[in-house]
Amino acid sequence: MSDADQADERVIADMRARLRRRALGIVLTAVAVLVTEVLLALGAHMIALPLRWWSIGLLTAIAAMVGLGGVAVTYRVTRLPPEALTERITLRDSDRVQRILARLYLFYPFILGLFAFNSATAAYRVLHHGWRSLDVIISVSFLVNMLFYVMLLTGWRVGGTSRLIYQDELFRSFRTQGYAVGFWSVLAGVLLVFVLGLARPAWAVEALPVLIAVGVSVPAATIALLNRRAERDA
Amino acid sequence: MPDRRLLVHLKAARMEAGLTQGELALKVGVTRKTINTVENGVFVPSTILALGLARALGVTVEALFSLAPD
Repeated sequence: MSDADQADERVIADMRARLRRRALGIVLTAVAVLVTEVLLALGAHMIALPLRWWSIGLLTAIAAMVGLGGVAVTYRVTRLPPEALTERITLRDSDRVQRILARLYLFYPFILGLFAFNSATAAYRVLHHGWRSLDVIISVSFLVNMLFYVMLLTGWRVGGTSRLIYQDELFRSFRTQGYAVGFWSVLAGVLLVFVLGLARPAWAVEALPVLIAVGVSVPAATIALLNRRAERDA
Repeated sequence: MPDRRLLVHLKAARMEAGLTQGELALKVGVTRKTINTVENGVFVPSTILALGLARALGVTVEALFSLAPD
C-alpha cells in the first residue's frame, strides 16, 4: 500500500468513527425529543396549563429546540475534517457510509413508530376532548421527525461530497425501488383509512399518523434491504 | 434486477486493464458496490455509466456488454 493510500485509510478510519457517532447522535436526539415531549406533557398537566397561543408556542418551541439543538450539536461534534471532504475519500469509503445510512434507515422507523403512536393518541384526544397544548407538541414533534427522516431518505439539502453517496447510480436505483414499494404501501394504507373512515370518521383521523410513518418507513426499509442484498452479492 | 438478456464482460475487461473494482469506481465516479453489482449482472447500468465505464477502460461499450442470442 502506498503512502497516499495509507493516508487515505487514516482519514477514512477517522471519518467512519465520526459517522458512527453522528448516527448515534441522531437517534439519541430523536429519543431526547420523545422524552421531552413526555416531560412537557406531565408538566403541562400538573400545572393545568391553559391552551393559549403563547403556551402552545412555548411548549412547541421547547420540543423543537431540543430536536434542532441535538442535530446541530451532533453535526458540530462529528464535523468532518477538510481532507475527508474530497471525492476520492468519499467514494473510497462509500460502501461503509451507505451501510451506516442503511442501518439508520432500518432503525429509525422504530423511533418514528413511537412518534406516530403518540400522534395517533393525540389525535384521539383532540377528537374526543378538544385541543390541548400537549397534543400540539406531540403533533409538531412527529411532523418535525418525519421531515428530518424524509431529508435523510432523499438526501434533500445534502451538499458537498456527501452528495456523491446519494447520487451514486446503484443507490439511486435502490431509492427508486424503495419509493415504488412505498407508493403501493401508501395506496393500500389510504384504502384502509378510507374504509375505517366510512365505519367511523374519527378512526380515519387517528390512523393518519401511522399511515404517514408507514409511507416514510417502507421505502427506507426497502432501501436498507436492497443495500444488504447487494452487499451479500459482493 | 438481473436481466438475462444482458451479457456482461466488465470483469474480464477490468482485469485486463489491471484495475481493482475500487480503482475503476474512482475513475468513473461511482461506488465500488455499483461496479460489483454491474459485474455480477445484478444491476443494469445507465447508458451514461456504460459509456463512462467503456471510456475508463479504453474499450467500446459493446466490448463490455452484449445481448444474449435469441
